Amino acid sequence: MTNINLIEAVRSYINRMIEDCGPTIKGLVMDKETASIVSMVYAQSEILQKEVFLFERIDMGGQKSLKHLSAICFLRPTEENIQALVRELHEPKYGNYFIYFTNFVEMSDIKSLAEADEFECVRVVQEYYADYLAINPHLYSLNIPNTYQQNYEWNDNLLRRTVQGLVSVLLSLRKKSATIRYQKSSNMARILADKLSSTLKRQVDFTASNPNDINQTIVLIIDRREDAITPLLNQWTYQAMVHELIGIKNNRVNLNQVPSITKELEEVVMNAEYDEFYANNLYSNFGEIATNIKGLMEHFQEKHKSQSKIESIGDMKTFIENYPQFKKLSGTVSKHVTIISELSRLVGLYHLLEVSETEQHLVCQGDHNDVVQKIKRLIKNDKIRDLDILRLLSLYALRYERHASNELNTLKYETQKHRRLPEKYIHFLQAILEYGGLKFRQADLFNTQTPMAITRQFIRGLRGVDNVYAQHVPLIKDLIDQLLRGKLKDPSYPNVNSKDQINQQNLSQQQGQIIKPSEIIIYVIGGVTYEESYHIQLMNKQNARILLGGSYIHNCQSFIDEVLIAVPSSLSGASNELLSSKRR
Amino acid sequence: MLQVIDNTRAGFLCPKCHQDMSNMEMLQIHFQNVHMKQSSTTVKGLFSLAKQKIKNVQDNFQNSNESSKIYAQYFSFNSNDSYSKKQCIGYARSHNTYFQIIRKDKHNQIFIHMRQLLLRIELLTNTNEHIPRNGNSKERRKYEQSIVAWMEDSVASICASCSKSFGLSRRKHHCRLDGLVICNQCSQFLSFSIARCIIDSNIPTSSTTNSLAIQRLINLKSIISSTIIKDRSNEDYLRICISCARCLQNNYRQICFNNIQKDEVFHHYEKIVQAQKEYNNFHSTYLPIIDSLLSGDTKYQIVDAQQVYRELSVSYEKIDSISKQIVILADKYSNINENDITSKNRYPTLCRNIRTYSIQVLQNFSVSTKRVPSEDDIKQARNEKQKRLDNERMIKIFLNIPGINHNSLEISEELEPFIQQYYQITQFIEQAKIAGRDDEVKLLELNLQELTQAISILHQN
Repeated sequence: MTNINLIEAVRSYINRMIEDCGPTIKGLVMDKETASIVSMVYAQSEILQKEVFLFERIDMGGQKSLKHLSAICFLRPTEENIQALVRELHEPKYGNYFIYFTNFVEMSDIKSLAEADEFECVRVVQEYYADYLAINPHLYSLNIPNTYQQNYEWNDNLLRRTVQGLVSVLLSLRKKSATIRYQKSSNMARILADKLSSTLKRQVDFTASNPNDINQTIVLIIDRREDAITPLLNQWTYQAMVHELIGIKNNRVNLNQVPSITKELEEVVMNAEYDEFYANNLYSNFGEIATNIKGLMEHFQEKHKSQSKIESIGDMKTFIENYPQFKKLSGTVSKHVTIISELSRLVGLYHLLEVSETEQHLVCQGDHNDVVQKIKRLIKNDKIRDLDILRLLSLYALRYERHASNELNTLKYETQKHRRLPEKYIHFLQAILEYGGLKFRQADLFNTQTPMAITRQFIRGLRGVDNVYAQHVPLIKDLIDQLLRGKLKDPSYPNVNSKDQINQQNLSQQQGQIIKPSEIIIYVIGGVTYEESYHIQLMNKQNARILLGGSYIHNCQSFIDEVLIAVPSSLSGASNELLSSKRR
Repeated sequence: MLQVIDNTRAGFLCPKCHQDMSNMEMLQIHFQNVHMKQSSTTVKGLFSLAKQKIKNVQDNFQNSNESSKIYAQYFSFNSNDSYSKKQCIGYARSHNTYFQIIRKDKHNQIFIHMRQLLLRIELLTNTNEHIPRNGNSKERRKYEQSIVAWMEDSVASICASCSKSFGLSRRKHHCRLDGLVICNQCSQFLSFSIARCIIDSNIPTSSTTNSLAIQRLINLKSIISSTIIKDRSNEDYLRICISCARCLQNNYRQICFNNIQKDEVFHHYEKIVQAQKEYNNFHSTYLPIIDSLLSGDTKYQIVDAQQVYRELSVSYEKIDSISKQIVILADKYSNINENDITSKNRYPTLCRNIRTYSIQVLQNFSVSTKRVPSEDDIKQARNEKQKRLDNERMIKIFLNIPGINHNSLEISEELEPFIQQYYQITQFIEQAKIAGRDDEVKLLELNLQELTQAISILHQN
């Protein structure tokens, strides 16, 4: 059984486009978003091999026209793109146009395109549903850094974009319909679920003809606000760590902050599809990577030695034959050595091991007094970054929000005494409780309420002893486990479906059948993290079929920014007052 | 009876989990292991439970086969899916039909309109003694109105294109092509010579030679920079409205577009593709030759390989040199259009990417193509093959010798001459039999027996 693969889904669309165009010189015309969609799954050199020699953006007009060139236009069906295409067709710069939209197009738009095509250049107009960034085979993102508007409401554009993204995930995997479940406590999740369901139904071409099909795919929509702690933790698996400490953007890592970096390594591409070492170590922890990079370097040195002694013509020949691989290997080695040494430099510089241990302790076990002492000690340590103190304070605030002897104010006072936190951070401490505090949450995020949960927590504690830095298991995994075992409660995670479907479900439930999904597609409003991706990947390794996605892939920094944007305006004023009273 | 016994044995069910333990002993052990510890609620019990769980977790990691698929049970697998090894391409939806219908309608409209305009231009610009000369004469106006019905002056109170009302300072004029009333400001003037060119260039080019069409185009270009002139020179002209002028302009642009010359790059690129094809063709004949040479066959000679290899290098060189030329083209282009920034990028990028592509192709070629083996290599390969054949024959004979333990096929060196001898004797016997010399046959068979004995002794040692 092959697993469903999002990268493969997008790639096969792109392959088909290039094949349809035939063996001529081709140009690929994209917009800003589709350019990143393509770059996630294809290296430029690989597309080049398929005789695609030009890469252009639709919004860059006024170029020399080459009639014997064919254009593959891969565009999102936005108004600007349609207009740009109409302009382009009035004055064609290519001889042939193969137009592919990433999503549903309005008939009126097709009409205006057809009328603009006076030169009869358009060969194909199609919808290919590759409307999301495929990051890993099981991970997708819609690249929306700030989903929440003020007061946690949808903005129409973003809602439309999100629905389009989810529809395209389904269609690109050949799923016409799905059972959609959503987190009831989130208004945004409900609206999105309704909109998604109605959009799927409205597209007549794709509605399922077979009613038995309906239960096969489950789409689970949840809100990041339910679990605000995962994005706040320090990470120790390779991919997550790089994102947390340096930052990954569309598979690119910017290294210009690294001391004495060479020019060619200022920006490197980290794509698991083209980098074997990276693919093998995405989910390795920091200790394992160090061992593995050593192995890679030894391998490289061996190769290097054999390369450097060329005595006979035979040696020369093997040298030439192996040279491309050798060059590739040397690129890989220098890239990963640079990144890993930078990571370990940062870990040492900011005492991240100590910080992370406290974080995990705070989240997963937590004797209250012990935690407070530890945090106080870290506040005084001037090697620790403000950001890490902020993480700890936020985690503390979330965890002990209603604790009888909550010492958040003492801790804040301590902090103000020893360091000057940026104003943004002080805002954040206030905002995070609004964002993901008890008032909003419905699940038991810290496993402190029921005896069952306490037991589980205890067992987890024991198990985690071998790695104190990875005790935390994100809420999402619990939710999936519950869902799979049929224990995810309908009242808190209801189903958007027409009545007869529910009846049918009830019927089959009464007959004792548990409905097994063929796969689960998760969407997290407000973004996911690589830690969550790692846990889903572990489950998929054990033959689960789960896809994870969200509006964005967050690290702590980007998460802070998003939370701050969503703060209701009344609150920011309040926090200012608090601040001034502190300073007095 | 037997069945009854079976049934009673099946009765050793665990009271807690209803698992069948098949006998009392097993049930006891099972119960102690699984349920006794779980039922205890003391801290100690919890501890041992935890330990057990940890052990389970560890077991999970060790038994990679079964327990690693623990999630499989929660998912349903579509049997159709499991057959197809590769993930299918996702759904797609085509709008081609709708698009083409709309486009066709629009085109027909434009086409009909254009035909009409051309016909009118043709008639209006004809110079013939029967037709009144172009000018503001009554006869001429009559002639023009017989071709295009003019709009009544009284009906039009505003200009059809700028919608300003007519008056003393804004006089009424007629477009000669569609008869609409327009003002002087909105008038364009089509000179007769340009009109002639337009008509000429619209004659289907299939009948005339291509070069003629191009010649016409060049004419058209040289006469009109902005297609329709505005200033009234001493030439004859037609007053036309803006919308008709635009139609003519569009028509002109379309003709230009259809006659755009293939850029040099494309010709070069076609050559590259051609060379690539040639290379692949030769390569498919080259590979078997090399393989056969290296395996010691005598089907081909070294000369054959060299010959094909030369062909290969010709194609290889061709790709290399043409792609280099393309790069030169890029440089030339960027020199010419120094001030034109936008188009500067596009063309050179295209050329350079073609060169990169060619280099990639060449690299692949050189990696996948083995060199022609040297004389020595081939000699060696042939010797090896000879040896291999000898060895095989030896074993064959050896297997035919009766009364020898064939378990080990290892033929030691000292054994080899004996086997050779054995083979020769069997040959002699054959010959003798044919010649009918029975005495000799007998003698030889005796010989053979001795030899067999000697071989078997040696072999056992």
